[in-house]
Amino acid sequence: MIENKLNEFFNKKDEWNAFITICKDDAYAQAGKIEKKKLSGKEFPLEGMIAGVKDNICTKGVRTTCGSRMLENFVSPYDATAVKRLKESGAVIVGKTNMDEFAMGSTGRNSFFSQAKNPLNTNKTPGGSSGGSAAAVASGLVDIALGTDTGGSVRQPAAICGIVGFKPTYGRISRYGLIAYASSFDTIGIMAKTTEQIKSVYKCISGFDPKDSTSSKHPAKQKVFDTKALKIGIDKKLMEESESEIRQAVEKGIGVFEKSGAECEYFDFAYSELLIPVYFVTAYSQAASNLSRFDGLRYGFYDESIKNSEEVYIKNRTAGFGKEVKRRILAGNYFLTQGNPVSIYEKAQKCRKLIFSEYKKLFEKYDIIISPTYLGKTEDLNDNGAGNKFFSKNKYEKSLMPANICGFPAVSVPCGMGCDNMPAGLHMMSEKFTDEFLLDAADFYLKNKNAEKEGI
Amino acid sequence: MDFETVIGLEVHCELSTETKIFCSCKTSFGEEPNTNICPVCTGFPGVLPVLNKKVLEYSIKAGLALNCEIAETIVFDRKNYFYPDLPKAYQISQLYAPLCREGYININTEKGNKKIRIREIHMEEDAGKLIHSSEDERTLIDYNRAGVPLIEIVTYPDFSCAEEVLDFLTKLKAILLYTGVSDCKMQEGSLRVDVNLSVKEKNAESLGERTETKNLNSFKAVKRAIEFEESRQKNEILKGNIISCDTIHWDDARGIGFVMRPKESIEEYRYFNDPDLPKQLISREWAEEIRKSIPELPSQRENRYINEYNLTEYEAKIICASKALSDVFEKLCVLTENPKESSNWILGEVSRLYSVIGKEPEDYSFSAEKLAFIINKLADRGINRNTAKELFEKVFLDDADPEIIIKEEGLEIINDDSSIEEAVRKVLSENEKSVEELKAGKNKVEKFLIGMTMKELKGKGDPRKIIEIMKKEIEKL
Repeated sequence: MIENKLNEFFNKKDEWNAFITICKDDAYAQAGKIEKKKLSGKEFPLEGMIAGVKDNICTKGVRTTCGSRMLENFVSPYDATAVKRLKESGAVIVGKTNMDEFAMGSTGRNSFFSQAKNPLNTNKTPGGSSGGSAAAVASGLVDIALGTDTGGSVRQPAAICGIVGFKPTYGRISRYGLIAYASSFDTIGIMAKTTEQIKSVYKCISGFDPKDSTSSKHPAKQKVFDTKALKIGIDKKLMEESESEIRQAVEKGIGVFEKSGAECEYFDFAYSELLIPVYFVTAYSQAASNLSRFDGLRYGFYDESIKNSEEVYIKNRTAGFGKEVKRRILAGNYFLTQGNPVSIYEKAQKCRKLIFSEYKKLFEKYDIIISPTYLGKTEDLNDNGAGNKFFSKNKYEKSLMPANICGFPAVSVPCGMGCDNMPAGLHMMSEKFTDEFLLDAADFYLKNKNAEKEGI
Repeated sequence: MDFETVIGLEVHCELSTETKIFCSCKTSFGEEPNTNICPVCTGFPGVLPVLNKKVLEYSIKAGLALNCEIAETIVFDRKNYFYPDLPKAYQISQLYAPLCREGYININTEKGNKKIRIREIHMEEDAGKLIHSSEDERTLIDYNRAGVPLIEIVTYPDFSCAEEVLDFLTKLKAILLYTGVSDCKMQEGSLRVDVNLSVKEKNAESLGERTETKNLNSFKAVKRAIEFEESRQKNEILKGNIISCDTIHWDDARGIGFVMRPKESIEEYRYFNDPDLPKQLISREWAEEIRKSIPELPSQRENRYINEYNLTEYEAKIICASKALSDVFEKLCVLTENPKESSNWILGEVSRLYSVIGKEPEDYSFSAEKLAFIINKLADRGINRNTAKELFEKVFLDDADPEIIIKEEGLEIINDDSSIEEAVRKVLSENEKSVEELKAGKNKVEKFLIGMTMKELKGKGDPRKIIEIMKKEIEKL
């Protein structure tokens, strides 16, 4: 069965540039291994699943590019923990998915390789930075895909491509082998069409990893999902700041919960204006440090005309990194520079604590916080002015950031149509270590939404 | 103009854990380049550091042995800078919250005891090594040392001269060796000293501008570099020049230091908490366990030697300065039950032979059991002192077996009465003239006659017995 599925996959054309690298030999070899082990009685919970893995998650023997010229030919000597666990659970990895360079971007435009396209409308971007993973799932090429979510990079493309995108609690899925962008935000996430698939993959790849000091041993909070006892908070500002079509879609979505007896209430988030600055300052600063190792000496892009050690850094990094990556490194280094009395980075960390304590209070009142996933229109592929819209554009991503800033689990589920006949995403977030509860909520929503549509 | 010198130290010390600070690579010195490496210590994409618990244990141990307070939590920071020996382009270190604070070592100065305060001790990782190839003008990188655990011990500027610094370093090294946290081999770079030095007019309130001297590979180099920098700064001031905050590279072969790079007013390392290593609590129970595991320290041993073994302060201090030497001494005391004689051997022949071969007791060992055998044999008058010294030289250099040599070479002292009597009679009969002189009161002749007897016995006669028998025989005549 898996062989048929693989044949089908490798015969299909990737019309959406969802993949940077296809790994046919490895996939068949992996499938063969599973078949063999099955003969001796072993069972695999993810048997029959074919998966795409975002190209910033290391795979042994298959190149991991991060969507960058810097790592165009980089082959990792080891498997990321999430990849290892995925394989051990019986999933077959068929390729590495396209992404914005080093996960910096939300359209796929920053990929060194090609622009990924949205399977629902090939004139639109698939979102980003896990745009390739979203396109691979939405197009039906794969069952599930791993993405990474530093500031919404799993949830935003999932919303835009009309699938489910789940970012677990920070520390639940090991970051070992995930090429770091912003270490304290980076989270491996799962993308699929159904919550069942996400649940089963999450069960297999999550859990403490001794190789990642930030991975958690904290037990899951036992919380039973019951709509009658459910309290939902809705971020008023984020609703107001959304495009009207999207707001309406989300309001409808909220209605599904209300009808089932959940108590829904709008709230005002006091530090709304802090979200974007805190995110950018923290992420860019950590990125500046994390990306410093790319000098071409041990791996990665190397300019053969280099004459001395200073040129190693200048030439390799100038040519190896794209524009957006360099912009963020420059900004990050500025944020880290010793200020008077402290760096901008340190100030941002104080604000981060403030945001966290505010959300903690909200979670004393609400089980789930709902907002639109992405507040604006999905961008067209050929948007000439895209580069200049930077500051106006990221306001649409505000709802994504709290989950990264605070480490909360969050999920985006498709909820009808938004602007330009493109899907809207309903964003749900809950407190730390209530991942299973949150997925139950997502599951409930999807089932009841469909039931309504089908008139049951 | 009268000057005062103010000196502070930064001592980097490699910990002797089996494995590196954030990965499980070996730390062994002198391996083939790039064999003790893995994706973590060479900064491959996607890897993460995991703190080696042994490193923490050793660092806490060092801190406690140096009378420090131990922090309640561990936090690491990134020190960002580009250099080819630094694979991640940041060093994981501790800037904001060092593991240990406010310790001290008591040193001895001409004016008596002085407390040198330790400001902090923090943990960090070592960098790799650049090897410049002269053949093809290439630079090669060996990452074996990258990720080897270090502690940096920072003192307050409490020193006023090179002698104080040297006494401190000797004591520091001994403490680190006693606790077993480092092998302190300066020639292998396990102990590296940076000297911060400034001079000021006597009784001036504010400190002068300081320089930092690096690349000091021996205590001797530390002393010379301090003296050099002290006089350089004084001369500059006398010439009316201003001292700038420079880094000085010490060239030991030429005996001079030269300015490496002008330091910027604030070093910009863009420090921030390493998000890969979350804050971790140090349990007080564990710290207490570590405290209990600290063995007897040099100052405690010194006191015991003085009180129990009746050694002088000087003897005790010299022996205890080296853990290896003091361990030998302990064994000798047990095996010979003669601490004074053991101490004489350590301070005499043992020290002499170490300086002959130019090695430290920590780097070269010999069998204490065999020396004990020699000392006991000497005490039992089985061999004489010259034989004992010659034997020990063979033990020390070639690990020879003294028992076998004594037998094979017949070195045992002749002390049976009949052999000695025979020799004495022979000498007396062959030197009648001397015997006459002796009888006439010329006492000097006795020594000559004893010497002749010893010669007759091929140097192996028991001198006391010879004298005794000689007296009897002369009386008989």
